[in-house]
Amino acid sequence: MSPSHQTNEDSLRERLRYLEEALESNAYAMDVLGATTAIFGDTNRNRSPEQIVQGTLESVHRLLTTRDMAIYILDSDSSFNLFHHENPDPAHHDLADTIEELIEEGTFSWALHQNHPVCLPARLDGESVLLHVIATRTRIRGMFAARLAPQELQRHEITLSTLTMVLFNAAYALESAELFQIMDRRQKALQRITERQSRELLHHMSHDSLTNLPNRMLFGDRLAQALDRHAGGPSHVALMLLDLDNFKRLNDSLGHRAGDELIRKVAKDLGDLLERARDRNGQPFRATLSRLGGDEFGILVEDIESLEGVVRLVTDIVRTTAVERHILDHPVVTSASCGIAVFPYDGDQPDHLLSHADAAMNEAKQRGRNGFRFYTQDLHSRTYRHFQLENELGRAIAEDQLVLHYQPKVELGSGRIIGGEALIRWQHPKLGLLPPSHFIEIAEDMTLIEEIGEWVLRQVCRDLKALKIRPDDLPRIAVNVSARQLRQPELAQRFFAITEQEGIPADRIELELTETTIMDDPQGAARMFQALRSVGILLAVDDFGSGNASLMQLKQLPADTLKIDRSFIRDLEQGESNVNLVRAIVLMARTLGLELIAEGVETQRQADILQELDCQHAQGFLFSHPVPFADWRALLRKGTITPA
Amino acid sequence: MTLDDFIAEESALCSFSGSYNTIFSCLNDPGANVATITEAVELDPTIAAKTLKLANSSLYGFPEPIETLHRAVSIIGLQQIRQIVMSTVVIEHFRGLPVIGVDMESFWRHSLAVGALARSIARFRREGNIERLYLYGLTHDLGRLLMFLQLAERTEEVIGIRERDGTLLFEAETAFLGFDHASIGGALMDAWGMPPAHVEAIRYHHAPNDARAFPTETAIVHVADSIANALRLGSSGERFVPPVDPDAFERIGLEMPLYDEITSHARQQLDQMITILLD
Repeated sequence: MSPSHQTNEDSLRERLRYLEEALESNAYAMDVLGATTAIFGDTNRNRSPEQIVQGTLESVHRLLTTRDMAIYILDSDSSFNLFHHENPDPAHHDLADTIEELIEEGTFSWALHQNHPVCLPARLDGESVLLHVIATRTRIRGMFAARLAPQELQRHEITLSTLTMVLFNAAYALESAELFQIMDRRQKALQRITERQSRELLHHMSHDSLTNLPNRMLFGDRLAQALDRHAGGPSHVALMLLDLDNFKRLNDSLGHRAGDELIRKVAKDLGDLLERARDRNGQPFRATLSRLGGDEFGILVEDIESLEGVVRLVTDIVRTTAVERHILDHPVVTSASCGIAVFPYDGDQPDHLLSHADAAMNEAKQRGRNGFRFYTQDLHSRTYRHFQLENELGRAIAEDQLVLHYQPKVELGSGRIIGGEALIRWQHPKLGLLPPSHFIEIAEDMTLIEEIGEWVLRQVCRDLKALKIRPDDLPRIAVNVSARQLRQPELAQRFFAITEQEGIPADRIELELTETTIMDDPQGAARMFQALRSVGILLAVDDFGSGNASLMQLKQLPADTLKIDRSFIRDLEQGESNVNLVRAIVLMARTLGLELIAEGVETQRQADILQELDCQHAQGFLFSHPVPFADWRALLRKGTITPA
Repeated sequence: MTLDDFIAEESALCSFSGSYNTIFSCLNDPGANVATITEAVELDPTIAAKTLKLANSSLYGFPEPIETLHRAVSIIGLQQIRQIVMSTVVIEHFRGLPVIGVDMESFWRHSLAVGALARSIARFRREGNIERLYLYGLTHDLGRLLMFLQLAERTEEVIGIRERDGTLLFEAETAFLGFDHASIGGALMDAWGMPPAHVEAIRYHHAPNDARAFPTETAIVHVADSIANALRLGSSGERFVPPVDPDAFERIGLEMPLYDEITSHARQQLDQMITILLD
């Protein structure tokens, strides 16, 4: 019972043709729709709105022949923005302008609520503007707009339905892209939160909740790291354990709250102190303060160069801790006992250091509390002594512990004193008088040698001045210079400046360098000799014969004096060959026009042989040991020395 | 009587003639475009005038007056205009028929109300083509009109059953005939060559769970029918409100509070539609 009763063949044929066409366009529409899967914003690749809009427009192109098309996207402020414009043509009547007009008229907002394509007559030559909302079931996402030629309006319905579906897909794609974005943001936020919480958790795990200081776990970790860092290095690590005295009694009498408050206050004071503290060079200490538990604190100090600094620091710590504090309105006096272990002397494992520091702390407690103890008490330990001397040497100059002794140089025949050698001594407060062999090496390691060298020269000048003799009659004083000093580029100028300042003629000073030192760097030595020579300072080659200077090199050195090495003198009495050796040296010195002096002369026999060999000057125990300044002055007044 | 008797017996009722027929075939032709549909509608001045009035009504809320049918077709959209024209044709076709047992005015008010409500529900669901649901709603009880026309005086017996048993009318129909007006309406839509969704929505609007292929459309008509009955927006002979099937309500997917808006939206349009279509 069809509405149409036409049954003739033509109309059937017509119908058949129509159906075939419809089938074809349906198939085409299915094809276009199938391709819209590409616009789904569900993979990383196609998740951007640009990609989605591009894909949408490609699909629309296959459906409609438009003169121009544009996509408007609803932004987060709910306003429509032109997102993509296919063929902008500002010269011609522009689609965007038309849309602006439609927005003003209200047609645009009307079209937003029509879930189908809307064809509006455009202002121009019969063309139409097609609007189609881009919306999901729940949200408007944007608007599709196109300019159509008049004939394009006569579209088959299937085309427009397909357009609806394409744009519906586009809306879902945009929505899914946005949801992915939101999800992504959420995930990132979640990640941030997780990270922050893990950090906090880690902090909680590694810090003491009462003082917010590193706890035992973190402290152990830092200690192990510090030991790793300093293994084999020149500087040291000090581990201090600090225990409050009588803390338990405070806890018992005022309660745990008071105990907690005391711990907090002590922790703050210690933290402030460590922040303020400076080492000898004015650098802050690299220190880690930790609460190990109960009333026990740990302090890790790295990059320590001198024990003296540690002593000062720990003294400060003990003093700072032992003050009166007001805890819950009660005056509380606490003191602390501190034990110190030093890496590497007291162990190279964290556990050893900790237990040794603990032992030292217990000892400090037993010795009456409020004090500190080092673990290492073995002063015979060489490295420890070295370390300690190092610290003390730093203070030695300032505290006037260095002294000069003088050993006279005499003329063999007459016994007349022709000059002397200044020899440094360290009047150590505990160890007594130390010869240079005990500390010069340390001084060179610590770079104190320059300072000491200048001190020696200045002291020599002052001593000379103290003799109160006419400058012309002043004895010539030899000063030893080490290899390290030789490398100082300004040495000649600085030394000259000192003699000038002290008012001593430069030629009263003779610098002694060992042959070995010279031969280690002949060019450097030659340059330095030249420079010293030019300011008038005299030069001597010390320990001559012990090195292996060639005649050629010797000739090039602007030296004034050769000092025959004591080993030759010692062997003089042992046989003719040794005598001949010294004779050759004497001959050579004469040939080169150098003065000659024998050192280490201990017997009269040696003095006699030397005199026979025409070596007229000598120095040694036979005449005098090195003597303090007062004795030296007395000798000079006397003028001659007769061997005992 | 069998179902076929109702459809076949009086073909004049079930088929259109003259310009209605031309318009109807054109509307059913999926290849139709703006021009052909405009031409067809213009064949009948009444239909054309009513269509234009509807297009200009607040149902479509177009900000400017739409002066030509051609424009109305392109603005309202090809798909949507079909259902509007079709509903106009259906109303015009059945209005003049003598039916016993039902007040024609009230019947069409009810049908328009269900149409407006179904359309409104579809709108809130952001359906693509909401006029489709309007047509389903409008035609949901055509089967009853056909039934009463055929039964003539025997209609009283059906009403009698309703009165005696205090049941819903469609249950009385089944008791009397073995099938109800929904089945007749479905068969009529089928005979008119309407799409399967339309047929199913009408056939099962009292048993929405039996709709296999288009349960959502069926559910919308079902719920709209109950709302229209509850609000007493006209009547097609029901005394009581047919209960809403919870599954159908669930299927529509709109929350209960939204129905206040849906209803008030539909009521606003209903008055205009009545004025335009039933005057």
